Amino acid sequence: MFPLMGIFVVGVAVALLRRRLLAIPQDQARRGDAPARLLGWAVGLLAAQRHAWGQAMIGELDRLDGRARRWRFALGCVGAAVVLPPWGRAVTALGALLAMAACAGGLAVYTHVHYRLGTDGWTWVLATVLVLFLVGYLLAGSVLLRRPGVAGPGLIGGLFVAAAWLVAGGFTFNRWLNSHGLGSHQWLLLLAPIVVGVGATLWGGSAAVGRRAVRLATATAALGVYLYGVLAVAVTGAAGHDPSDGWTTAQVVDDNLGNQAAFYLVALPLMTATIGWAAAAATARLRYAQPAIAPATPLLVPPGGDSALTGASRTTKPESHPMREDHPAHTRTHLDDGTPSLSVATAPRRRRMWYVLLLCAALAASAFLVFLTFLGPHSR
Amino acid sequence: MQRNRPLSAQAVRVLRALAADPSRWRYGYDLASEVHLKSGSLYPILVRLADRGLLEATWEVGPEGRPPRHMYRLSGPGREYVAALPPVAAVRIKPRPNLRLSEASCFH
Repeated sequence: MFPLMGIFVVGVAVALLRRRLLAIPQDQARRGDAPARLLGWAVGLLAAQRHAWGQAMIGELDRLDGRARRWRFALGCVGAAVVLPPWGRAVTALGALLAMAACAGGLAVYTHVHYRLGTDGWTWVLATVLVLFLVGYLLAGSVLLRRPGVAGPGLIGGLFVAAAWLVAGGFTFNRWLNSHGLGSHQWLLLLAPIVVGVGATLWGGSAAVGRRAVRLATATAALGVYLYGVLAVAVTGAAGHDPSDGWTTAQVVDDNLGNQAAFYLVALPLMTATIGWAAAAATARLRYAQPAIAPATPLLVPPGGDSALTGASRTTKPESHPMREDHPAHTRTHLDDGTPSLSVATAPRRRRMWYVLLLCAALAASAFLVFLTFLGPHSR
Repeated sequence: MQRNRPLSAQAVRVLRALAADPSRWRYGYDLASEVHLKSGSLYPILVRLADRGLLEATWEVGPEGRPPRHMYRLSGPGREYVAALPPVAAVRIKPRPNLRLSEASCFH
C-alpha cells in the first residue's frame, strides 16, 4: 500500500505545484483568497445560460469584507451553483454512475453478509473508506458532467478504459479472480488512458477538456470495473481457488473483496488519471502550438448582458463594462479552464508547461511500474 | 409548467422586500441580509424570479479592476404580482441593525 500512498502524495504535490506555477501573482490577497477561488471554480459548473448569475455572485463576493462572511457567502453560492438547473443530459449520466456505485456498495455488503465474513473495528473503518471513495467518485462525476464538452468523451473513455481492464483481466469471473497477473494484455492498461487523453483533447480542442474527460473516464471506469469485480466475488465466492494454501472460504472472499477495492478504486484511477492527464497535456502541446495561451472568451463579460437574466432588464454599455481581463476572479476561472490569461508571459509559460509535462511523464511511468509490481504476484 | 407553480414563502419574502421600494435597485447581499436568507438560497430564488419575468436586473459599474455588481428590482409584472398577493401580516421583515443598504438610487 505504501507505493500507492507515495504516488498519491506525489500527485497532490504535483497538482499544488502546478497550480502555483500557473497562478498569476495576486496583488490583492482579498480578491484572490480561497473563497474567491472556490467561487471562481464553482461558477464554471453553471450552464451557459446561467453564467451571468455566476458573475453576479463573483461581483457580490468581491464587495464583502471579513473572512467568515466571505466564506459563508462563497459556500452558499457554491451550493447554489452545484444544484442550479438546468442539468440537461448530465442527470442521466449521473444516474448511471449513481446506480453503479449503489450496486457495487450493495453487492459488497451482500457478499460480506452472505459469506459470513468477520466483523471488527477495522471492518467499519474500511467500510467508511469505501463509502468515501464511492461518494467521491460520484461527486467528481457530477461536477465533471456539467462541464461543457466533457461528458461525451469522458463517458466513452470510461467505457473504453473499463473494457481494456476487462480484456486484460480475462473477462470471466474465474480468471478475473484466480489468475495471477494480467496475462499478455498489460499494454492495454497503458494504451487505454493514452487513447482517452489524446482523443478527448482532440475532441474538445484543449488540454483542459482532455484532462477533465480523463478524470471523468477514470471515475466511470473505476466504478464500472469495481462493480464487475464485486459481482465476480459475490457470484464466484471461493470457487476456483487453489485449496492447497489452507485458506478458508471466508478468508478467500474477504481477500478478494479487499483486492477489488484496492485495485479498482485506487490503483486503476491513479494510473488512468496520471497517464491520461499526461497524454492530454502532451497532445495539447504538440497539436496546438500554444496550449496555454488562448484568446479571452466572452465569459469575461456577462453573457448577453442582462438579457441572459430577463428580457425586461436593462444593461450597461459593453464598452463601459468593468469586466477586465486582469480581474483575479475571472482570471482564476480561466486558469481552472486551462486557458490562462494573456497577462502571463509566453516564454515562462512554455518552460512551465515542459516542466509539468516532464513531471507527468515521470509520474505516469512510476505509477505504471508500481501498479505492475502490485498486480504481478497476487499476494495470497 | 414551472411557471404555474406557486412561489415559495422565501421567494415571496424576497418579492415583498423588493416591493418596499419598487424603484430602488438592490444588491444581492443586502437583499439576503434583509430577508434572512443565505446566498445559497437567495440566488436560486432570484434566478427563478427572473425566469418568471418578475425581476429585472442590471450591472453596476464598479471601480477600476473590480467586477461589476448585480442589482435587482421588481419588474412591471413583479409589481403586479406583489400587488395581487394577499396582505400578510404574519411575514414581518425586521431590518437588521448592521444592514448595508444599497445606495443605488442613481441607477433608477
